Amino acid sequence: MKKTSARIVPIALLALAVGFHPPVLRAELVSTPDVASQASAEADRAKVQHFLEQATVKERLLAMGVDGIAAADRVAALDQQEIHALAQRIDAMPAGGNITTMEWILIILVAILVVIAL
Amino acid sequence: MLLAACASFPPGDWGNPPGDPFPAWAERTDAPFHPQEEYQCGPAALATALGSAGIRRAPEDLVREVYIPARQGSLQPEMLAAARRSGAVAYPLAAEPQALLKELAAGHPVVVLQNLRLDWAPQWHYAVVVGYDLRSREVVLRSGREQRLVMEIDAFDRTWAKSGRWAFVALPPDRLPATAAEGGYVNAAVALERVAPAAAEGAYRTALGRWPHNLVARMGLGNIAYARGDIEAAELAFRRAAADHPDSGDAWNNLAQILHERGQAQAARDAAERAMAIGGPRLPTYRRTFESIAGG
Repeated sequence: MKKTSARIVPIALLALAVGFHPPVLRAELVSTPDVASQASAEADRAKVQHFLEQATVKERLLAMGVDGIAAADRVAALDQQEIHALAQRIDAMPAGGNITTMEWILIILVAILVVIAL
Repeated sequence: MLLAACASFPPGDWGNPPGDPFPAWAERTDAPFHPQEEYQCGPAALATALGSAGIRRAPEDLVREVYIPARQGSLQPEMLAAARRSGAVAYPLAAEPQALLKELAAGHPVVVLQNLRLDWAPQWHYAVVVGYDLRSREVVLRSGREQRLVMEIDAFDRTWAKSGRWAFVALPPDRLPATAAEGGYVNAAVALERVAPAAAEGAYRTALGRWPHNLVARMGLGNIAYARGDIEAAELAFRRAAADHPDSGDAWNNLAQILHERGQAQAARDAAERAMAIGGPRLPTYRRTFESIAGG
């Protein structure tokens, strides 16, 4: 009996101490991108915007035939500026690859029009 | 950064700078070649650049990371991101021939975006320039199905200028680009931190080797060490950051948190107070750090 209480007391004290002074679970270190950016007076607004832009880019990738898991990974690999650039103009950006079918159709149409016009 | 630059770019200066001349020719003959599948010059070019950096990636695997079916091609930001996911530092070059030549002279193959056709009906294409010869005015590329495509410099420049002379090198973290500028290189390392922290740590060290007082790289080292649970290395980095940059609230804030976790209550409070006294856009963060230290 005595033994048990001798054990319980320090544990109870510890519990009390922990209860009154909750330990910091996770430090709030300033992240490296934040150190680099300097401009975070409107950090919260920027974070919300970034979040929305990420969703936009992922949606566009899905719409363009990239599968779901890959799209999520790909968005996660982009930095904030890249996300912003893609969210703004993903459809206008050059896609290095080769000539697309749509472009062939346009070229042929233009050629036909030129022939007709002549 | 992108298309806006396409309209018309004046011919580039391919001359050898008189003060600091390049060798008359250079070529990475060992740069691997991956004949591209249809539309997939992006993955093929990436695999060539990464392979030259000692990072072996198959183009088929990279397709999943950069190819967009509906566009039948790959976008520039995703090319950079995929290089980082593979653990390389993706460093965009200044849009000028001299930068390209300087990297090639250092043995760094350069991924370029070309428009092989007209401005109004573009055919965007990624290739890797692996060498040049200023005597015969030629560049050597791994391009499409061509293992060693030799292009006359003026012809190449016309196709390259249409992309705004977009180019980047993908290098192992211990190798500084020949044209590295402090801010640009450190930014490239920061972009690496989230996806490949071990590689970013190497890149920060490389940056500090050249620019020992760079605050962002020093803080990056501390943050990576902390995330890894190496609190001693983190303390060392943040102490050095605060010593080199006594006016950086971020450095004092992060140092305060580490000291707190190491049980150095008074030193932690002092550091947190310094951060608050410096203030700036992240003052609310510094206050929270101080409160958690004072309360704990």
